[in-house]
Amino acid sequence: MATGAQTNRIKWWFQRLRVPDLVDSRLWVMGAAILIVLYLAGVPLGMLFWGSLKVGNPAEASPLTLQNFVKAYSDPRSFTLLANSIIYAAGTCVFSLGLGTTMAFIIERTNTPLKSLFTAMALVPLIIPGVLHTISWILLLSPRIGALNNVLMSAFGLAEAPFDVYGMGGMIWVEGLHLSPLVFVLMAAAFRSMDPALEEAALTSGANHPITFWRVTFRLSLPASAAAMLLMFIRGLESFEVPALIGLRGGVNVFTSRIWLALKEFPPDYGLAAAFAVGLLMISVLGILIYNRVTSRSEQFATVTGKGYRPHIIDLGNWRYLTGLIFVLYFFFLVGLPLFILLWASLNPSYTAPGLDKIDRLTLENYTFVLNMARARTAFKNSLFLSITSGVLVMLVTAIISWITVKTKWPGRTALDVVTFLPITIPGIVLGVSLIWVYLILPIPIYGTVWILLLAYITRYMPYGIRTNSAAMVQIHRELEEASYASGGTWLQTFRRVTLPLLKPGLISGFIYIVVVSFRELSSSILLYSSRSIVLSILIFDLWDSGQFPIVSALSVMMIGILILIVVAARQVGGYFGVRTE
Amino acid sequence: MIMRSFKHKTVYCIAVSLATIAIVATACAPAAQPTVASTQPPEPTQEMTLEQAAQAEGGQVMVYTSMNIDDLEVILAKFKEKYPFVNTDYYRASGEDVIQKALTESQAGQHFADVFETNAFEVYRLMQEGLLAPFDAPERAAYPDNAKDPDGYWTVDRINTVVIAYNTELVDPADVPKTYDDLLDPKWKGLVGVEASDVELLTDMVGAWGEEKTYSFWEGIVAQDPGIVDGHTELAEFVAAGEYAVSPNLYGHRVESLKAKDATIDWVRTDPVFAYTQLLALAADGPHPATGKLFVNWLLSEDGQTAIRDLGRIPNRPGIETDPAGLTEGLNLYYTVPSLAEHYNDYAAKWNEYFSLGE
Repeated sequence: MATGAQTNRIKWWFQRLRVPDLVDSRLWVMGAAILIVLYLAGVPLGMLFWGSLKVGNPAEASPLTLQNFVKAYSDPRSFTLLANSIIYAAGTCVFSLGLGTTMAFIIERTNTPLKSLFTAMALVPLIIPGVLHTISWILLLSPRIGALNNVLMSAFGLAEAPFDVYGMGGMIWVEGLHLSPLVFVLMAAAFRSMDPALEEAALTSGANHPITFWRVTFRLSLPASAAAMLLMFIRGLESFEVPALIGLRGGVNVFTSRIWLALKEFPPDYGLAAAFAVGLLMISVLGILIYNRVTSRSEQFATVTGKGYRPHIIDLGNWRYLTGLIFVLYFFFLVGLPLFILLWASLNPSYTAPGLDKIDRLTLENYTFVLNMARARTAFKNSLFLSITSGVLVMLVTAIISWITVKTKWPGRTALDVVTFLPITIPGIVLGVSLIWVYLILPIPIYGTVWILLLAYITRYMPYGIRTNSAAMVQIHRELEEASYASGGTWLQTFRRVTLPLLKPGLISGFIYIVVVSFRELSSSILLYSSRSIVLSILIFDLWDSGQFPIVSALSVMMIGILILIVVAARQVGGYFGVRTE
Repeated sequence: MIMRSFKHKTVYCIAVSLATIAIVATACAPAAQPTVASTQPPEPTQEMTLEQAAQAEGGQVMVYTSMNIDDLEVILAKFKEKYPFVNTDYYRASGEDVIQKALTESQAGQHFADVFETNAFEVYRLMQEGLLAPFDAPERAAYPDNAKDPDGYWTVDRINTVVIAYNTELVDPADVPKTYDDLLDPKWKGLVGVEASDVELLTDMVGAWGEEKTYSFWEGIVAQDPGIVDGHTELAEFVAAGEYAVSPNLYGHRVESLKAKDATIDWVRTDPVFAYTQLLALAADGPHPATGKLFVNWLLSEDGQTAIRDLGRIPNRPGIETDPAGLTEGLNLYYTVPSLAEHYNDYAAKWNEYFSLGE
C-alpha cells in the first residue's frame, strides 16, 4: 500500500507528465520548426556552395578550388550583365510595387465600385504560365504583328508601330505586370490589419487623404512593402523567361543568361553556374540585412493592438469612378488581354492572330482532348495535393519561425531569417540534384513519389512564407500575447489562440500565393517527377515542347478556373475565422 | 464594427479546417510508390531468345528519353501489345535533364534506367561516363553504318530534320529561299528568326561544309539583324504567326504538323538537309537488362519504326516511309556525328559570340 509520501510523489510525476505540459513546451514546437528549416534549406545550400568549389559535376570526386569564382567574376562581361540585371530587377520592383500597392489600397480601403468582383481576378496574371504571359505580350506589342499595335496603327493612321516590346522597357513592363499580383496580395494583407486611429488623427489634424496615405498609411505598411520590394527585386534578378524571349531579341542580356550558358556547355559547367548563383545569393543576403534594419524597431509598426481597430474605408465620392476606371484599365490590360489571347488560342486548331474572318475556325477540340487525357487527371490531382499541402505546411512552419525572428531577442535569429529566405536564390536544378542525391543515399524511400516533390516545394516556397508572415507578425503588438500569458495561457495556447488568428491576413495571402505558384513549379520538378507523380507544370511543358500551343492554352484556361475556385474558397474559409472587418 | 475572436472555438475551427484541407489533399494524393526494386536477372543463355529472357526476368523496363510523353505512351503501349507480359515505365525530359538525373543516380550508387533514348551528344556523354552497355541487337543489321556505333553502344532510331522554314503569307512563291545562301539576301533583313541554342546545327554544318563556309554563312545571318528566340516551338509559332518571315533552324516535323493545322508555314528541301539524330542505347547496370534488350530490338524493328512513323515522327530504318510522305524521301540527309561532342564547347563559344549570348 502506498504511503502518503509515495502518493504525493506519484501525483507529482503525473503532474510533470501532463500531456499539455509536454506539448506546450515552446522548445519542442520551436525546436522542431528550426530543425525543419535548417534541414530543408541546409541541404541544397550546402550542395550549392560545395558545387561552386568543384570542377565538373558536384557529386564527382575532384579537389576543391576557387577557379569557378575566378572564372565567373574576373570576366568584365559578368558585371555588365549584373548591371543589366539590377536595372531590370529595380525597374520591375518599382513598377510592380506601384501597381500592386495602388490596386491593394483601392480594393481594401476605398468604396470603389466593382471591387469585390475584381479581388479574385487579381491573381490571374500570376497563374498564367510565364512563357504564355510573355508570348501573349509579344503577340500584342511586337512592332511587326502585335495586335495592339495593329489596332492603334489602323485607328490613328500611324506609319510606325507605337509600341516595341523588345527592349528593357518592354521587359520591365511584362515582368512587372506578371509580378504585380504578388505585391497586391502582400499589401492587401497589410492594409487590412491597420489601425485607423493614426489615419484619423492625421485627417483631423488637417491632412488630406493623399498626404495621410503617404505619411501614415504607407509608412505603417513599411514591413509589408519592404518585404514586397525584396521579393520583387530578387525575383527580377533571377527571372529568366522574359529575358530569354524578349531580352535576346532586344539585345538585352542579363546575369541569369550566364548561368543558362554555363549549363548549356558540354558537359554542363555546374561549378561555374553555382559560382554565379552564389553571387545572386550574396545579393539576397545583403537585401535581407537591409530589410531587417529597416523593420528592426518592430513596435512602431504594431498596428494590431489591444485597442479595437477596424480598417477605415475611405469614401471617395465621385472620385470612386476614376478609381473604378483605373481598375477596368488594369484588368483590361493585365487580365483581359492575355486571357483573351489564351482563350482565342485554346479555341483554334493552330495559333493565328485574332480576327473576325477567322471565327469559323474556332473549335472545342482542344478541350475535349484535355478532358480525355488520363495523364491530365493524374497531374491535376498531384498538383492540387502538392500546392495545398505545401501551402499549409509552409505557412505554419514559417509562422513559428517569424515569431522567433520578430518577437524574441534570441541570438542567431537574424541568421535563422536569412537561412529561411535563402532558398529563393537556389536554382531549381541544384535543388533537384541535391534531393535526388540525399534520398537515394538515406534509407528513406521517397524517391520517385510525390513526397520528394513536396519537400522540394516546401523548400522553394519557405522564403515567401517567411516574408509574408514576418510582415504580418510585425504588425501585432505584444500586449495581446501578454494578456494571454497574464491569464495563465501557455506559449502554445497563446500562439494558437491569439497569434495565429491575428496573423490571418498574412497567412491567407501567403497560402494563396504558394498555391498559385506551386502549380507552375517546373525547374526542380523536372528532375524529381516520375510517371506516377507527374504534375501539371511538367505536362504543360511537355505539350508545349511538342508544339501543342493550342492544347497548352486550353489546359491553362482550365487551370486558371480551378485556381480561382481555390482562391475564393480560401478567402471564404478565412473569412469565418479570426479578426473580421465589416 | 469590431470583432475580436479570441474564443477557443475559433482557433479550434482554424485547426480543424487546416487539418481538413490537409486530409482532403492527402486523400487526393496517390499512395507513395516505392521505387522499382531491382531483381536479380537470370543469366540469359545462348539458346534463350530475347523474349524468353525478358519473361524470365519479370518483364519490367524503364526508359529514360526525350521523346514527348504523348508519343512515348503510344510507343510503350504498342510494345506491350506485342509483348503483353511486360510492364513499362518512363522518365521524360530534355537531353540535359536526362543526363543529369542518370548521372546523379549513378553517383549515388543506384541505377533505374534500362534504356536511354535521347540526343546524340547526350548519349555520347553517357557512353563516356560508362553508363551504357554495348548490345548488338539483331535488328541493327538493317541499319546503315553511319546510323550505328561500331562497338554496339548506340543506334540512331529516329531523326529530327532541321530545315529552312518560311511564312507562306509573307513570302511570295517566287521569293522562297532555295539554298542556305538565299537567306543572306538583303530582302530578309530583320525578318530572320534564329533559335538560340542550336549549336548542334553549327557543328553539323562544319562537318558538311568545313569551318570557312559555315562561319561565313552565320556571319551573313548575323548581318541580317536576326531575332533570337529560345525554343524551337516558340520560334515555329512566331514564324507561323508572321513575327518572322524565314528561319534557318526549325524542325521539319513541327512545320509539317503546323501545316496540317492550316498554319501559314512551309519548309525548304535544301541539299543537304541537316538531321539531328536520336540515339537508342542499352543502359549499363540497368535493373532489367533483358527486357531492356527486348525493347531496344523492338524499337529498331519494322514494328517499332512504323509506330514512330505513325506519330508523325521520322523513323530511321531504311524502307519505312514517313508520314506525311516526303519528310526525308529523296533528301540528302546529313546526320549529326555524336563524337563531334568533343568539340562542342569550341562551336558553342563561336555561336554565343555570333548572337552576343552572355554579353
